[in-house]
Amino acid sequence: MGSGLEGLEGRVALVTGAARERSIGRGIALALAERGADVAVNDLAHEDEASRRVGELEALGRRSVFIRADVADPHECERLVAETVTRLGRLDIFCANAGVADWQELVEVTPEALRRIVGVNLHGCFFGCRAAAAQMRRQCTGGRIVVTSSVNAVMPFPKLGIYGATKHAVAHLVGVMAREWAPDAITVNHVAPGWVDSNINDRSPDFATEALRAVARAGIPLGHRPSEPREIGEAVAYFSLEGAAHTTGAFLRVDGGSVIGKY
Amino acid sequence: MRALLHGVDEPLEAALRERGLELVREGEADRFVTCGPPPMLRSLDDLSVDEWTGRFCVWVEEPFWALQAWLQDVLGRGARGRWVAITTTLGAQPFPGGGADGSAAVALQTLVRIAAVEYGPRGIRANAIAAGWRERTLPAGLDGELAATDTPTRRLVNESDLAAAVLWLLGDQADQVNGEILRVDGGYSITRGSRPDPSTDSRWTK
Repeated sequence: MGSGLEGLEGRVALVTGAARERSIGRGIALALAERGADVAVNDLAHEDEASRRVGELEALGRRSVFIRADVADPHECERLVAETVTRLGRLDIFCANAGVADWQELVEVTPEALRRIVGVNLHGCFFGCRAAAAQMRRQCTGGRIVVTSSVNAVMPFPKLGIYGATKHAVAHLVGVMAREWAPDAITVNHVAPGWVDSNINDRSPDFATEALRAVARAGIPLGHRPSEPREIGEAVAYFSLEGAAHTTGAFLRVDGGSVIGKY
Repeated sequence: MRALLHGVDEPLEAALRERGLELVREGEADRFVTCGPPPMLRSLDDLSVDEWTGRFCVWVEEPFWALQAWLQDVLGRGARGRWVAITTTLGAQPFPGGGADGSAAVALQTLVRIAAVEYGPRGIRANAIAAGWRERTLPAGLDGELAATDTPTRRLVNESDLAAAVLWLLGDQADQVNGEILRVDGGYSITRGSRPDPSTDSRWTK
């Protein structure tokens, strides 16, 4: 009997928000592909970077396609899943990773910012997971859903109110999805990054200067460094492996211990 | 004591007024109370897109814009503001059928905690109540008698319970209570009880 941690050969994964060079989505896609999964890469834009993602996944010997879609649109989510199945044959692993953030105090939040953050981070997560679960149910072989959450799901960070609200909502949603879809052998888990030096954080005021980054590094007990996208990907890959078949509704922080004892 | 009210919850409003709280729908008030709709149970697969987004809108977005206007007024006046958001214990644990309302409830609770952090230094306190099952607003399909039996206090929540909690959080007695999520549910959400379970309840069995 194997360890259950061998690989993902023959599995097909779809990762949203995965086109960019320094994205968590890229780290997830690489971790899954290196274990044998074929990977559909989704993003709303950044098609030039997406073609490089597809190329590097194919260089690992996997099939890979880029599918442009806006996850905030439920119809687009259904098309995204359908096109993945058309081009790669099935869907076994869905990674709801796409996310956006803005840094504003509550009194400064604009309707546009709220619509965009809620649309992608919460509604997009739900629409994507539901479309993926429907496909997994049709295949009758169960499935794995892994949501990219955040330490914001458990701890309030000033100026990230709307973002934090969506991440907390998603954390709760993961639990309900895990319970409601368990009869279909679909597991739903979430991974919570802390500070990752990814594209999304380029606009963060918390990391705007080297002095601020030094403060942020000092607050991370493990190694005094941000997490790498690939380290988030490793956690996602674990939830996708056979050995994690009985793990659902789990919340796994990958943050170097940055919020331990703070919430 | 006077409070600006957002949302409609007539039995609770009556209970608050009985206890001396003046509720207004507009104008200046240092205290602010937001109410949500009666809870709804529906499986994630059965929710329409409009139901999903609509529940989030009424639970979170509409109260948020009202909160933002109230914050701007209170901060502009330099007053010591008090916000109490009435949410639901559906956010306390994953509850099959409670995905829409539970997610929205915790989103609003996060905004409460953010407000507590961002505006505490400027004299604003923000807290939430997570209300348990109420006789008047039991969602369809939930057995009230069973829910009461499953509640450690052996009864459902009533408006008086909630009104007492609201008034305490709005008052000076709770001056150091900030960013708290106060469960008023008789302990229901810390038990397992008879909550619908997808493996045993036909409503959730595929």
